[in-house]
Amino acid sequence: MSKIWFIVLLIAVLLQIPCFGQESEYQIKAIFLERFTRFIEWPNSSGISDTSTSFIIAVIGDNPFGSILEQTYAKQKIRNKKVEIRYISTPDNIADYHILFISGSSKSILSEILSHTRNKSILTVGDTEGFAEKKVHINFFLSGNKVKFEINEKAVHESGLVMSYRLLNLAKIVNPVREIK
Amino acid sequence: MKLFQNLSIRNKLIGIILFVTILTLGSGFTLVIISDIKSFKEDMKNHTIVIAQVTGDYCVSPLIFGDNTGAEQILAKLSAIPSIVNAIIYEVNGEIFAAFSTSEDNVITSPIVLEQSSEFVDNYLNVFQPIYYKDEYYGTIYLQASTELLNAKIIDNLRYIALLMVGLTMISIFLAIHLQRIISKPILNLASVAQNIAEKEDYSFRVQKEGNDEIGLLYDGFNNMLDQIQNREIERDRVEKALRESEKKFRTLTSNIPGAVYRCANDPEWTMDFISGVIEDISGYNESDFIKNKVRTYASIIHPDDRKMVDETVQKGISAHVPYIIEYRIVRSEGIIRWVYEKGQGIFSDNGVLLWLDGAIFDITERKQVELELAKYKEHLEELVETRTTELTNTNEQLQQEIAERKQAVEALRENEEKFESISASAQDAIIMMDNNGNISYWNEAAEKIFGYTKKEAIGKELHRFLGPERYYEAYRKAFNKFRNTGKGAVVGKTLELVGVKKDGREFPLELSLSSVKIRNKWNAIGIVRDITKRKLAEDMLRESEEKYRSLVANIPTVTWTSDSEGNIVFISPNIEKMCGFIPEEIYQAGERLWLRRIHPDDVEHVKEAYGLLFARNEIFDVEYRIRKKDGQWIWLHDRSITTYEKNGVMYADGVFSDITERVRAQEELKEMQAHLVQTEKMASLGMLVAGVAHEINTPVGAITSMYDTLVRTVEKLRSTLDTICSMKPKDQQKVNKLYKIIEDANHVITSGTERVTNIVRRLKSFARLDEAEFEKVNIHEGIEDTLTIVHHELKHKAVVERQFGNLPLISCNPSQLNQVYLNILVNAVQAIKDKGTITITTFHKKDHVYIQIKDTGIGIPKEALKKIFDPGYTTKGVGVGTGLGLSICYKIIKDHHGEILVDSEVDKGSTFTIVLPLKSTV
Repeated sequence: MSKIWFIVLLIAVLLQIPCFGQESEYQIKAIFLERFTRFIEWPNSSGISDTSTSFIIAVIGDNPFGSILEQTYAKQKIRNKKVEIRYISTPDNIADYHILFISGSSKSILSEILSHTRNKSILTVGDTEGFAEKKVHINFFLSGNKVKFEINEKAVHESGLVMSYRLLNLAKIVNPVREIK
Repeated sequence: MKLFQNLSIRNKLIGIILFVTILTLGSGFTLVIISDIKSFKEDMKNHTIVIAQVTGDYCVSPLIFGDNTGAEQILAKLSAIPSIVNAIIYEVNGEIFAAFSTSEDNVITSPIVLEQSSEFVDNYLNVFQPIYYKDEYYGTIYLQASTELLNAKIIDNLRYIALLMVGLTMISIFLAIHLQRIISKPILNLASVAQNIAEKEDYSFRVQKEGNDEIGLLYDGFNNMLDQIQNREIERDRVEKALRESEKKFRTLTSNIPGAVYRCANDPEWTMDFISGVIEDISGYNESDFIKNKVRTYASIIHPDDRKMVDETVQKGISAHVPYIIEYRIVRSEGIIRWVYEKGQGIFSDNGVLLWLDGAIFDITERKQVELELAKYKEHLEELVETRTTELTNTNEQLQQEIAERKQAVEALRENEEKFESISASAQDAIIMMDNNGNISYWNEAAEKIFGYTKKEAIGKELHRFLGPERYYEAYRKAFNKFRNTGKGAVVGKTLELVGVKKDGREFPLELSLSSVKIRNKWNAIGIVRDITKRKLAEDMLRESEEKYRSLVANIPTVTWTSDSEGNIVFISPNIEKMCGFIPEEIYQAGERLWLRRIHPDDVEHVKEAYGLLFARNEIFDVEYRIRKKDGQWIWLHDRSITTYEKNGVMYADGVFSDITERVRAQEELKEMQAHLVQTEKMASLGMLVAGVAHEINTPVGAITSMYDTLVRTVEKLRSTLDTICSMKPKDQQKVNKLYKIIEDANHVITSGTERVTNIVRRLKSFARLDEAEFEKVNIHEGIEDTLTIVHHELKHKAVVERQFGNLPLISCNPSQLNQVYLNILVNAVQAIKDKGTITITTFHKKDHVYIQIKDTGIGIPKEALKKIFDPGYTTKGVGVGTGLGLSICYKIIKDHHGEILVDSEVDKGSTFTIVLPLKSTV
């Protein structure tokens, strides 16, 4: 009985601890969210420079992260701002977030969500197949054991966010701005 | 450095240019190379850093998103860069994030440095570049690049530069070689021109300036120098010409100065740089002899005794920088001594160095002679004045008297001594005194001459041992022993002939007159010894001659003859041929003419007469006459016939005659010799007398001379005393001066008179020099002069004597005998002159003989008499007045001298006697 419990505990722990290699998938994704911010420029109107206000990460739909987001950003700041994690279920509640993670459960209402984010400088991140084509800015996917992401460059371009080429270089580009011949 | 110095200018310039070029190029290129290397490295570093930076930048997102693969992919891109061999991305913690390597082998990595650094290590460049994004450090990129390419690049660069260097050097050599000409050409040109000028000595050449640089200045300077040299040459030529002119002028001017002007060096030879022609008049040597000591030095003609004094005087003058004045003797070319006066001075250069001596030399012989005489007189007078004044200041009359008395006594004694001395000195015979011990105590001059021992040698010696031959010594000794006590002896008071021994050991005959005298109670002997060698010789010769005569007479061959009363010779013995050269036939054919004609004219009358008497009165025909042989020679015949007889009606006489020429000659010789002997004896005694007289005269003359000096002195003293004591009125002074003049004139007469007397006495003594070494080297002229003095009193009213004396060397002869000859001839000459006439005496020297000619302007000698004059007994003065021996003796004397006496005469014009004497005596 204790053996089984140990294995269950272990798996649970393993599933909980984020690590590169040793970290879980959603730990990596959570860390990547901060990493993305290093290569993106939000307009000043988003209050990105104001360190007194928080950096808001919102999750819409099911929460795949569990408490990982809170664990990751309990102390870590993004862009010197304190990080606030919000969970919403409907697009109507979309406020001025900096990052909006769209879970797979919200697949059906994707366009609705996006219409609400369109006018705001919100970086949209998903991890569902096809989301990048559907104009989600960054979309995680798995390649082998590695977490990779694809970026819809045009969508980013239209959003008013400025994304560094460095990030772009790293990602699979969907809808490039310029066709490379 | 020396090596470089000796290179030619061209090479020097090329060398310098090359050196500079290579140095600058070298250093330049070296710097370039260094800087290139540096910059290449920098470039590489920068290049690599940039690559690192860019690459690192690209790796930022892979680093952030942990995309090792992505990072590796990026690093793999670095393979495009050939030099990069290794690339590593390090994470923040130093762990390798991604790596790239070109080689399989793991290359040496450098220690990990996480800050920026770039270092060259070994053959690699290691660059560490930290990766920053938005001021956050995400890791370090490490790149390692190989320096292979870099090194290759550097070497390429080096090669290129080296090539460039060589090329540039070549170019610079080429340029140097050509461009150095710009500098060297003008210099070489100048050098060659200078050499040319020096070789050809052509200073008219000038160089052409080409530029205005320092070389141009040099050229200008050179040309200037040549100008100056040329000018100096012209100037020098001009000066030389002027100098020559001046020299000429000087020479002509100096030739007119009576003194010899000179310039000489201050050396022992007095080397003449110049001396005027007058020196020839003074010294007899041409001036060119002395110049530069060409033939002789001037010093060589200065009298040896004066050379030192001359040198000292000159040196004194030189060192004091004052002129020097010297009077000294020189020896002329013919040996005569002359006095010269010389004044000169040293000529100095500006810095006091003696250059030469300048001066003039004058002949002052006459003056000097007078001066010397005067000086002698003065000296003597001075001495006398001194003695006289000291005497005068001594007022002790008694002392004076005593001294005078004693003086008188001494004088008297001295007089006697002198008398004795003069007698004994002048005596031709030796006067020897022997003291009581048998030693010689007195020895006169004649003794010295006869025996050969000097007084010193003889005095004190034992007389008999010293002067007599060994063999007689005992006998003498015996006699002496008897004598010393008694004063008596066999020879005492007598004159006898003995044998003596001369110093050289020769025995000789002598005549001794011995007398005794007691001196201080001891018996001394006085002997008068005469060397009778000559007389003995003469006596021997006489005996010989007599003998000869006697033998001749005994051996005379006789010729027998028969002739008639007319004188025709009808028979004559054949030995007539031997005697006269005719054969009897010749005489028969010729008849009386032949015989009579050949008889000497002086004798023919007498013979005829005697022959007539023979037939007329039967008087014995005994005649001696001269007849001429067939060959012309004269012979004496003694012709005798006692009786006449008749045959066939004709009267004949028989007779004999013999050749008595030898006998006659011998007789004549005998007569001559006898006469000569008598003459010699006469002359000997005459000589003694003359010598004695001379000495006698000398004493009073000496007194006169000394008293004369006293007189002159005293007069002077008187004069000066008078001048100091009183100052006279001019009139009185005049009177006194007149008196002085009279005294002076009188003095002159006295002086000349005494001189003459002294002269005469001297000549007398000289004339009477008999028996003085048989033959000696004599000056002929002296003898002639001596003889002239003797006959002067005979000559003075009748004849003027002219002397034409040549340059005769000394002759070896018997001077007194020659004097006799001159005397005879001169006396004859005077006697030949009627009222007034001239006697000319000429002497000259030809080949090996000396000729003495005495010519008079007398009555002359008739031709017939010329042959007879030398015959003994021939005289024109009448029997009893002239002995007729004079000329025959002269003839004999001259013959003894191996000479000849010749006579030439013309009646009423005069006669010339010539004596010829050989130079070399064959005695």
